[in-house]
Amino acid sequence: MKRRWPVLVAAGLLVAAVAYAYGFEGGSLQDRVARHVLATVLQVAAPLLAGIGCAAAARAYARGDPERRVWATGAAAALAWTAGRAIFAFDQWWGQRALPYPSVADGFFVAFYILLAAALALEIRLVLPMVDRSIRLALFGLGVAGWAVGFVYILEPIVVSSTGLMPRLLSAFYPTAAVFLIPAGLVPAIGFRGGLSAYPWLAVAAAALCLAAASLGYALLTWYDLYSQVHGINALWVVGFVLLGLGGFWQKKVQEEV
Amino acid sequence: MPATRREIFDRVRAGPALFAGIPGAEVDIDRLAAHLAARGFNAGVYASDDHLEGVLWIQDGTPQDTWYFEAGGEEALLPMVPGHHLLRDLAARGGAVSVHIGTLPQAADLTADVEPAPDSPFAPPGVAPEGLVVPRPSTTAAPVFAAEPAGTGHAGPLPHLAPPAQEAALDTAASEVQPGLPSIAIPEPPPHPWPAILSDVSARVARLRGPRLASLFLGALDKALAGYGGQVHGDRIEAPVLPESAWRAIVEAACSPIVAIAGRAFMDRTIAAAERSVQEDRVAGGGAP
Repeated sequence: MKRRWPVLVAAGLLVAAVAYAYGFEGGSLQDRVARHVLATVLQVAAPLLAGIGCAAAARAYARGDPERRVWATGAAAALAWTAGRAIFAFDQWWGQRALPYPSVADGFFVAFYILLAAALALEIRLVLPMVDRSIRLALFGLGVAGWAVGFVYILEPIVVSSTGLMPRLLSAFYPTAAVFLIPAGLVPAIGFRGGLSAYPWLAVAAAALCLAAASLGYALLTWYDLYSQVHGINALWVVGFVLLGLGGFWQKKVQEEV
Repeated sequence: MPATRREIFDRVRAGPALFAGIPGAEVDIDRLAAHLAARGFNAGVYASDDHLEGVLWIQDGTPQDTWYFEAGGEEALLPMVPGHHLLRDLAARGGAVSVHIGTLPQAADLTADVEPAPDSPFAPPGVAPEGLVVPRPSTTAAPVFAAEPAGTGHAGPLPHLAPPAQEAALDTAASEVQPGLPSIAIPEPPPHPWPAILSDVSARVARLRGPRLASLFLGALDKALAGYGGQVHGDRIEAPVLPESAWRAIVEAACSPIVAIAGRAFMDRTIAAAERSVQEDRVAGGGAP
């Protein structure tokens, strides 16, 4: 109980910061600048927290343990996103580009999805024998259905437009990758169902859900020129990475609890 | 009736094999011996080719004697190359490597069928080294753990691979050899209450990693126990009285599905916690700790 209050205070401050940064519109110039700065800080701090959480989970294993690689890869993914967000912010503040897209930062964002997918693929390879074939198929179907809905309602107009190739590719890649990460996160959660280890993977799947929704929203908003750093959709990135970090810390606890 | 090394060796080889017939070129004898020693196995690492057979004994966490025989020969040989170097050469030449669970016999149970090395404290004056010494029949019992020529504990890379405690044990073994004073073979430690421990491990794995992984564990345990006449009934583990080294082989095999996912550190912690819990339950229940 003694160690719980700092966590509760930090969680409360985080919720308040997210609410202030993304929950209001308008206000004075100072207010808007403050919210912009806060939003930028949150967008860098949240994936950094996720990276620390995943690294903490990796450290709970011995060298050579298969799941150590899984969480280490997850940590590398989150840190790649952190780097991308830092570059994005740098471009905005010192590069004089309001919304740099696509930019060097997108290289790191792509790396994030590839690394996170690799981490989940490593875990799935380990737990697949513990998941029934019917459940595997259902999860795959869920991924395909989610992607199809996102494609038809959001991505199709972007993909078939005459915009540059790179923005179209990125707009299609981010949500596609994120949508398939949801069932991928659910596979280990189902493999470990009934055990405490299922919850960290549920957190990872929930994180993927937030990232998928944020990616689809981001693609839609940038397409219609409605996106801003303080738009409410950005809260989903923050929540997604906080969930990923929680998953890491939780896994560390489970691994060490015995 | 004292037994020859060959008889003892054949007896152990007839017992359960941890693995058998692995091509020697694919096995690093030093690492294998260090691993078995670190895991607490009592076993013989056996390598052979068309001409020679050899066995390195791992006992109580420490590599011990190395015995050599001509292929099919009845009496042990003392090679010029000391320690397990020849065994390593045997493996490297493409010989097959096996690991058999078993313990070294008591000193009194063993006849001395090995000619002592010329520089050994047991060597009679005037014996000159001439390749492989042909053994001669003897009726005098020799110390079990003193057959290695002096200094072999430092000869190979094994002590560097082994944990410091094992290195110290090897040093002690080499320096404490006294002519004419048979050393005492260390008996196996009292067996752990493995059925209760493994049952607790299963419950912990189910709680932490889910019942699916726990059932994989129990399946592997059932398979491993089958070779020893034991079985798993639901959550109940039935096994005959087995030596500690056999239990270690069973535990190693049963834990492999969990180690493959959750890792060695998790498994070691789980076994340690289960053992503590079982001991505490026994103390609380008034049983022997």
